Amino acid sequence: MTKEMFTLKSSDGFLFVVDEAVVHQSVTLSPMVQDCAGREYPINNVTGKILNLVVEYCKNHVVVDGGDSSSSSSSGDALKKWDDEFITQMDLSTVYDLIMAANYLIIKGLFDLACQRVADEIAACKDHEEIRATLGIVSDYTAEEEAEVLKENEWAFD
Amino acid sequence: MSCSVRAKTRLGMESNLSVHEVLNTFDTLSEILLLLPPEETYKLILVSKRWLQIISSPFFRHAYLARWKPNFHLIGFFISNTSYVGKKHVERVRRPRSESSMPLLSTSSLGDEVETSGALKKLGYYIDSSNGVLLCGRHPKAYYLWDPVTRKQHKIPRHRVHFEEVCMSLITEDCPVEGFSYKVVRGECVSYAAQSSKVRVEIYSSKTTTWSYSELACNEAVSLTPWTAGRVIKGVVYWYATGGKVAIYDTEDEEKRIDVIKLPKTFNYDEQVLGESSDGCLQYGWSNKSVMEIWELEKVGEVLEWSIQFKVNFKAMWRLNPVESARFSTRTKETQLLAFFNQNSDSVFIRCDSHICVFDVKTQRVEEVQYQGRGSSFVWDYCKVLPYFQLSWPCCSSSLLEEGNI
Repeated sequence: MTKEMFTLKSSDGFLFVVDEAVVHQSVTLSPMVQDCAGREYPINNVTGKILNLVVEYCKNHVVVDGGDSSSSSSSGDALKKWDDEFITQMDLSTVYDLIMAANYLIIKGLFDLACQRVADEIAACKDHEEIRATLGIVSDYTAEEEAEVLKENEWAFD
Repeated sequence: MSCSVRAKTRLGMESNLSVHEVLNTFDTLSEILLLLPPEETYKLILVSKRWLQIISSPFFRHAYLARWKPNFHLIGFFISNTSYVGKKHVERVRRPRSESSMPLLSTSSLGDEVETSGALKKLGYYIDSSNGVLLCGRHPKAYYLWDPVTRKQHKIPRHRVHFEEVCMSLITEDCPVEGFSYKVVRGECVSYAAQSSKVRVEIYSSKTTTWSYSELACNEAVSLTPWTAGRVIKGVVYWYATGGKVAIYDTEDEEKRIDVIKLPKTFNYDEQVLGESSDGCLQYGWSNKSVMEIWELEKVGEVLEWSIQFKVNFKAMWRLNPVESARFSTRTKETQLLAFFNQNSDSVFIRCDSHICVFDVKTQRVEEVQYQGRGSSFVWDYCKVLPYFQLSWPCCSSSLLEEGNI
């Protein structure tokens, strides 16, 4: 039986040919299985660079049909290792774009993986100033407001 | 992703504090913050006002506490002098005017503030507390709720059915949108001679703002013990009943039932306390001059069974803590079990004379808890000492909430 192939087009015009198993991992794209075989499906808010990573993730996460839910721990571990390497080698800016893409395409596993990467970055920071620097956030606190927050919650900062 | 589905209506690009859309969008930022353990929370609120607003919102708190265990902060210890409360009019002892009806031994700056401001002065006697919300009042005339976050009191509408003697409990429930809602449960206490398999209760709900009366059916005759502090765990109320029993009432159960179970066999106990374990089970502890025992009520299949958690011999305990032992003169003064921590099985409060300490079950170490109010003159042996905990969660004052559009 020949596999159905689908063409995804990124916002900047790159084309990605993927099979049904990849498309099914996206809740947003799943319905297109019925309509779009053979036609190009535009994904307007994801660039080629990011879509490439999304497709790479999905290809690696294709669930073997007929496999039981309690897959062997060794293959589970190998997948986890792949996920770790996949997400850790990216810079934060790419991870953010990946979060937005996974959110839009509704790919839970990828969304969770990318969010966890950002969470890990935050947890590694020793204080709020380091968090701002690492994530590229400008504080909107005035000195008085910051002091007020500290005061209202002072017992927690001991 | 559950957060983003529900919060779709809250989407918006608020102040652009970051070049990255992810960190400016409520949905995705919340999902990331939900992944961080409780020890990070107070670091996060200082990053920006947006982060503070998200974290202190009831919506976020509800999602977060569904995932992570809540932490509690000890505000102080309330003293409840049992000779003043309840009892038939004739037996009741009059409280001297100079003495507060709800004295608080403060262990925190909030506690200090409460005592000096006299915020709780007119509110009667301590009844119960839950997640920091305080239930107090004067039976049967008036009951109040006091919230440590807003520092406001609220008088509960008058109940409809009169019970001569009661036991009362407070249930708080964290709702995603409205924040905390609560229920006040009153149970009628009849004498042992008049015990019956029907127990009358009345519940006030903040959602309906009305009282509703029920008659609960029990398998056996029961009489609840009045004026005692029970324990509430996830909407189930546990009250002492005469004959060495504990009554169990699930307020969420449509079936209007109350069950009774015998407490583990104890002989000549001086103190008994109820609490909640780390895994949400009922904890029961008792102590006498020489020992204390902690039990847990566990569900084994369909049946509830008591299982002993630990037993401590006080002499042996003090031998392991010689410095404190010498300071507290433990040879001449009695030690007793005082209370449990909130949702915690790792430590308990004990008392020796006027010293309150934390006993760590694993290390067997004793550490004193410093409190304000040592000078107050009450007789410890006639009092119940009840720790008052606040839910540890960042506060966001209303002025900071005005900006931004959560």
